[in-house]
Amino acid sequence: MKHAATFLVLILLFALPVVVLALVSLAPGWRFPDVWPADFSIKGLIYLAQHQRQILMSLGSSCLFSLLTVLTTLLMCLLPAAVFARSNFSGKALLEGLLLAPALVPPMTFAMGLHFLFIKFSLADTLAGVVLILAMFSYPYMFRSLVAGFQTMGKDYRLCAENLGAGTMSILLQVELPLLMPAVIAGGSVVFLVAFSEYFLVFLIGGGSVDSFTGTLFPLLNSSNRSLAAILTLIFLCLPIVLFLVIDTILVQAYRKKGMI
Amino acid sequence: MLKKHIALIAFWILFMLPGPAAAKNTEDSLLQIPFQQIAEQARNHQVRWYMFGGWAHVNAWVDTYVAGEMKKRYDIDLVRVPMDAGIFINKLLNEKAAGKKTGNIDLLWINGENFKNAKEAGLLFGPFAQQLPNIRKYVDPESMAHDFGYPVEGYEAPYGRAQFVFEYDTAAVSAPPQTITGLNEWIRANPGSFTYPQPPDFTGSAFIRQLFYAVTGGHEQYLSGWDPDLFARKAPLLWNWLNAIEPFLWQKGQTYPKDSAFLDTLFSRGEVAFGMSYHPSHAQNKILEGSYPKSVRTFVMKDGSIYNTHFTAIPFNAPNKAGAMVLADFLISMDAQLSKYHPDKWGDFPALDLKRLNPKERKQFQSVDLGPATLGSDTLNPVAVPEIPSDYLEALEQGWKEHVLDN
Repeated sequence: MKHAATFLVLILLFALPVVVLALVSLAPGWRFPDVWPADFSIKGLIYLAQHQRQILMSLGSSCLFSLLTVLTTLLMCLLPAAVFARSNFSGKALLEGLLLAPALVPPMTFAMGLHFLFIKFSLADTLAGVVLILAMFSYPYMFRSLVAGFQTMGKDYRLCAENLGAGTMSILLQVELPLLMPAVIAGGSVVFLVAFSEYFLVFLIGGGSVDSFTGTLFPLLNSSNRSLAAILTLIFLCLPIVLFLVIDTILVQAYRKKGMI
Repeated sequence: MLKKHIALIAFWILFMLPGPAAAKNTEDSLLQIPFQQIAEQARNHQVRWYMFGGWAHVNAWVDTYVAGEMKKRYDIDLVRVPMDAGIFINKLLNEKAAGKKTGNIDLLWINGENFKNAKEAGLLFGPFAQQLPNIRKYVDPESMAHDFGYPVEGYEAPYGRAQFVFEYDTAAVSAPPQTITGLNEWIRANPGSFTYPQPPDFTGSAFIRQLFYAVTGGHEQYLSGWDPDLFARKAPLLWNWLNAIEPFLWQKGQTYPKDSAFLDTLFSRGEVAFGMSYHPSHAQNKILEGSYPKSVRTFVMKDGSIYNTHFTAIPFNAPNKAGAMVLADFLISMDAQLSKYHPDKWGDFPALDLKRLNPKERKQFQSVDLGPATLGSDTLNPVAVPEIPSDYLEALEQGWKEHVLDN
């Protein structure tokens, strides 16, 4: 019974709004006091069909730079996280706080200055620039997650591997990274979502040369075309879910192969 | 303090680069050579047009009709990039400061204070407008001399006209007010049924400008340019008017719709009685889209309804200036203006001078069915009043926040 109540609340909170979105996407003129929309229209879907190439391209581009951002943050954070998890040194707390700051400071504050520098280094209006700026303020999520991962793993695996004669690289790649996978995925998911949902930075640094789904979605959300906004929001909603399903399937298979579950 | 300045100056010097002399020459020649040659240079290239992307029907018109024609006529690939004017101005300002000589924007959809800011900061290429044959042929020079009271001087090419209208649902309101005084009475008689988008929203800001004209004795006094004394004397009349109706507004005026899209939604749901738009065909578009009931119509106030022209401009570092000029010229062509005028395409009013067309062409414009919700030029033209110089616009937006919102 207790579970049923929880379930009901979850459905009310998460499933019901999706139903409303789905209805609005087909009935832009739905208004009070109609409980059920009086008129349906597929104009939104027609627009979607007309612009499918553009929307798919922007989805693809968003996925690409978000995944690259995840990779970049992983590279940035792997070794610092190992140090933070394993050793104590003076000023550690302060440094950790500073390293987490980019997640707390609004990106707008440093974006304008960075844009200037990025233009100088020819990084503006490029995919690399977008990935870098996104990594720059989303890495704390990866960092926190990796530190926790290293702490959970402890030092023993590393010691064992060292005793058996493994070098630094092979310890990292063959022992630690596989064990860190859950932490990487946890951090990576957050980084992915942050990067995928970012609008302003991608626009400023990408300068319209790097397509993004948010760049297509936001102007339409800010207009009163509710049907189209609802349809695109549904797509926006589906994408992370699809991504998680894919990751989950791959992981379960990988673990099964290794006999870990 | 001094140290900080020195560091800043050093930083700027470090990053400043001299502009290229050679590139400048070929660009300047674009302002002299015949259009035929410009079109020839532009052939087989890409043109990137940065514009507001919030209107699905406008996006569709650009992506299908304009892109198709540009490909067919000039072999140009048009890429539409949705970006708000505020963002691309910032982008260009940074590029200018960093000395980036080749950007990635060819053409901008711009007007008003954004144009003024861009031109004053030297972000625009030109004057190119008189190089475009369709402008010489069809556009009344007087109509493109000023943009919000700021001299255009050929740095923009006109491509559409808009005028402020109110919207109402004939099923809910039988006789909408005809004057600002009438509106005031109507609001008091029907508490909670009226509101306007919060300036600096484009539409909300236009609404208070129009009121400003109406409650301070007309528009003529402001057109000669910014006069702080005049503003200080006249603005309180507007703040008093707005504060007096505030208790009778939607949500008792404690909050305002944050943008015109929000007002559209309130209006489409019947929560407020009047919508408003700077686009005469907005209501018709919304009906066609299915968002508004079919019984919605538009009306204007006898006190005057402001109109403006919207423009395209070319950034100083556009990679394909020739292509941008060809696109700007096509947009003001007879064919594009006519296509754009159809309400199922966009419904945007033509920026060309109908008197300059031959009778057959004029007839084509006159026979366009604007739809039942759009007013004809016979109703719109007599009440049309020009936009205010943009210094007033900025002062009004600032003043509204101080005297009405925070009051």
